[in-house]
Amino acid sequence: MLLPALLWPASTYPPAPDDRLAPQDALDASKVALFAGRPEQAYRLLLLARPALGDDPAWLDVAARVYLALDRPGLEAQAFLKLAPSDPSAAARVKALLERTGNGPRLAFQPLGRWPVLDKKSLKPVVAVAPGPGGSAYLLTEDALLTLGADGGILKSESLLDARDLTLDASGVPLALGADTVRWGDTVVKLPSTVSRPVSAAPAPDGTFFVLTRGDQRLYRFSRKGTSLGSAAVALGDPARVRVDGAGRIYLADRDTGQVRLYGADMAPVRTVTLAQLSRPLRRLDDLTVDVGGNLLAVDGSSKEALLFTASGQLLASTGPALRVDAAGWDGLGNLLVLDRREGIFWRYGS
Amino acid sequence: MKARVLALLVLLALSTPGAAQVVMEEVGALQEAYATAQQTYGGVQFRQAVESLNPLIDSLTKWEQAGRLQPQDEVLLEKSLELRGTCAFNLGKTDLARQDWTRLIQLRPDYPFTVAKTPKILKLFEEIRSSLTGTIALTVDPADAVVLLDGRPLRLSAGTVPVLKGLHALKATRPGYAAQEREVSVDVGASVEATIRLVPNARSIYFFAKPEGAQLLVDGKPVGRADRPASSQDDWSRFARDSGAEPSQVYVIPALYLPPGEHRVALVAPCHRKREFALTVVLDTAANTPGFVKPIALERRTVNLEVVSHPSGSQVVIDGQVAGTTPLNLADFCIGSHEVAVQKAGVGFYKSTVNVTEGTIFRVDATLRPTLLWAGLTRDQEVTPRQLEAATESLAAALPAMGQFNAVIAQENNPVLPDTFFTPGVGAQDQAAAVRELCEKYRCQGLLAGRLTVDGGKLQMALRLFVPEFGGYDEDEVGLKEASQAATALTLVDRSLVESSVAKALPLTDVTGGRGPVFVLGVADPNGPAAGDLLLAVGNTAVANAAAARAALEKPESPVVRFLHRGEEKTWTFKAGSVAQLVPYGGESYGNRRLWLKARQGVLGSETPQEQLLSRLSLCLAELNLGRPVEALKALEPLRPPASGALDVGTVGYLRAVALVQLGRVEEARPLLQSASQDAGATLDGLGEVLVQPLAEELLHRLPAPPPAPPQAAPRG
Repeated sequence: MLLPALLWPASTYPPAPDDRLAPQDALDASKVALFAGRPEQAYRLLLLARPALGDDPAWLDVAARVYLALDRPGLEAQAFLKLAPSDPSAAARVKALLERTGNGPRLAFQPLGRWPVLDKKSLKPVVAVAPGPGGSAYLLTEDALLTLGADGGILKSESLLDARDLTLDASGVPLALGADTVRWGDTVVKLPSTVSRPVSAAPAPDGTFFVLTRGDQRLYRFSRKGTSLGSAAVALGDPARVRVDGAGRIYLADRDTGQVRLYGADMAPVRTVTLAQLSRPLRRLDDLTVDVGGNLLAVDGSSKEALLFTASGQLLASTGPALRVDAAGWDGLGNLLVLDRREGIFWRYGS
Repeated sequence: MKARVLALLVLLALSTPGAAQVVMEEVGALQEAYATAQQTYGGVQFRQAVESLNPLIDSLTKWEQAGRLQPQDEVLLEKSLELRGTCAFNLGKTDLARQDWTRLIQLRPDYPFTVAKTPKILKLFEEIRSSLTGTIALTVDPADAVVLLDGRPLRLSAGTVPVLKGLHALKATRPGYAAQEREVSVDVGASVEATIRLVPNARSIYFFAKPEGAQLLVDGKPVGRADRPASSQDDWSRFARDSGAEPSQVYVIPALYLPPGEHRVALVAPCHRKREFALTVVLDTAANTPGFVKPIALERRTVNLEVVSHPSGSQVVIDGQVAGTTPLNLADFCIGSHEVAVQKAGVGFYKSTVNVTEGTIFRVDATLRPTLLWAGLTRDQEVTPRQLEAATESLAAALPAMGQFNAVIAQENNPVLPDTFFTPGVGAQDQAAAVRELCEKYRCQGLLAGRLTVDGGKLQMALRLFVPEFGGYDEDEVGLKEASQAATALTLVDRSLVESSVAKALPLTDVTGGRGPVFVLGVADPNGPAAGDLLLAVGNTAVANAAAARAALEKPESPVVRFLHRGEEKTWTFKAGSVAQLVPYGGESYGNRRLWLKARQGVLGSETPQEQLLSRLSLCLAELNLGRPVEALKALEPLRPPASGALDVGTVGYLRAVALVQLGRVEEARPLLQSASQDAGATLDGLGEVLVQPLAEELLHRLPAPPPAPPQAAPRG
């Protein structure tokens, strides 16, 4: 049933009478096309599914992802607005999308207060941080993933040798990368020995995850159970981070050049964005987080700043020189957790 | 008499056909017998007269005993007894005379003896009357009241009335008065006085009004018209003059016998302002004089009527009379209800009942619209005839009021006509043929039929729209709480070609912690707001939130919008009227035939480039959705779209390309798609929700590779 609409060259929108799909079939096909890296085709199929399913949460969820892939934050925000009655996080997504178009009022990170202080000794081995639900936080130290309560107490500790990267999936579940292991929630995946010097890992919206390596400069894809789904060579000066957005698009951060290379879900190059401040590329792009609109939060290891850029690379806000940012964790919405390792404090920021 | 006989004939003919003839002949014979007796009495042949009267009186006596005696027969019997008694007296048979006259007085105590003037005869008759009766000295006020004595009307309502001894019932009635009854006991030879004074229970009011022909309504009911000049009657004339009016110039409307209390009175006349007031009627129990209402002159009211149409140059017919061509201005045009029809040959028709209200100018804006034939309503077995009737009534009232279509109701002598369009047994070709035939006959562009069903205990109304140009139908269904709400189903069909609302045209939202409403989508105009811009003010009004902004934007003017874009304050004029939403694809059940009808009408009638653009794009979309790419291309052929905007050259190019791809003309489509894929602002819906760019990119991507360029000819030599 899906084949004619996906493959038949003459499929058009509006569709010819012989070329019409049932709305649910069209929506399923749209999702398949999106995660296959064909957002335009996903868009046509999405429109075919709209007459009957236009206000359905499932349709709106796919629509938001397709609009993200098409770089249409307004339409994406509109989809989330319609989702707001059934999705508590939708309003925050709308705010994030519309505030970060680069069109509206200037943004600034606003300190929301200090987070419970940990002693400097325990902070030194912290590699990465991420905000957790209800004021909690995830800390990735050199050898463990810690879950901290809102009062700073350690709720959970999971060992992870030679930890390197921490990020959150769409549900806020942490995915942490060790020397040869990926811990994604309760799932622990042992990476094959062929994966040489992994530096970053990221979950994808289809349930798979990616691992970026420095040794052989490759990007690997695995199922959640650890089955290899293939790999591709990447040519980066110093691979720093891999991230995947809600539409399945892949972002590769190059520490040396301050560039972020964006690929479609099918690994076809989309664009390269140079993250720059005062027209100078970031000198050391240590960390990267992507939000619901494809906007980028970067940590510059040289200037010790966290900087927010639009999807096209326009600088929106910076934590500024007054604050030393050794690591930053962001949920993509309003919660930014910044670590000043020297002072031994965390700051909570909002925009 | 003839009527009674005829009635009797009819009655008897139903039961005993033979008897009817007999009765008629008998009655005729009795009349003849009396006439013969009168002649012979005149010829002083008293014996022969008695012989003629005997069988007559015998027959009538039998009828009386059988209870068949009618009032007319009674009169004949009374006259016969009077005459026979007189003959007997003249023959010296006084006893027989006394016998007949005694019976006559028993029948009719007040019988006026007239057959003879002889004093002896009169003396004897009055002696007999005196020996049998007493008298009632009757006085009735008013004198023209109808008085019934023992249920029989008295010939006189005043004076002395002879009555037989005993108890008698008197009843007096007159319109405008409460009826009165009383009993009177009379002895032989006695005279009893009886006075009946009726009391008024209503009052007649005479309204004096101008102009002639004005209609009077009391409590909403028409009472009469001003058609009798006050000069036609002295008291009216006097009153009119005393009120300062010329009696020949004011007209009287009697409102007879109005009950006491407050009444709503209205005087209406075409071309005049309606006068309404409350009138309290007070009874005049003493004299019951009629009430006169001082002359009321209705004010003549006219307006300058302007009739404009789309397209202009259309013929205007008002109340059946050709009034001119649009744009039309008619000075001194009467207020009130008028039938306005606007038509242009080959383009279309507009018809409406317009209530022209007071003011300086009244404007009729007529957009020529397609005509739909209403073929009627059918039902399934679970729908009651009463429900069908209620639904039919509801629809009949609502059809002429449709805003987007003219409605004609089929006058076919075929009770199963609506079934033709719903019964599964009727093939599509037969339905199409019926639609073609009826639309030709009624000069309509589409046919609408309805069906009431009960599904799971709930009443459902389905409407099917057929268009003669192609087969199939649009079907819309709606649930009804009651059959009388069937007209609500028409809203499924009666929708405009393009729809929009401020909320859709310029979506805004509030964000947590934001400084004001934020534009969600922005607009295609590069000078207008973009997604994420902050709205500061609409006109001179600062807007704090999205709801306030929407309310300010809903106003009919074209407000200037002040907004913040990338840190810079900008202004832009929002024109709500220029925003339109098209439906590129509404799914399998979308009303594409409705869209097609409206779009074709729009193409014929549009006068501005924007109207032409919207109409042709709508027509193209309808054609594509109906599977007619050739016609879709034709719809776009003469179009000159704007270079940029939400509906621009990219939109038109993309739709042309879609039609061409569906026709297999891929290489013609390719450059159009290449161009459209560069147009980030073009949309298919006009509001930015259906983007052309990704659709064009995708279609371009799926086209087969272009054929290789022809090899260059090698240079000779």
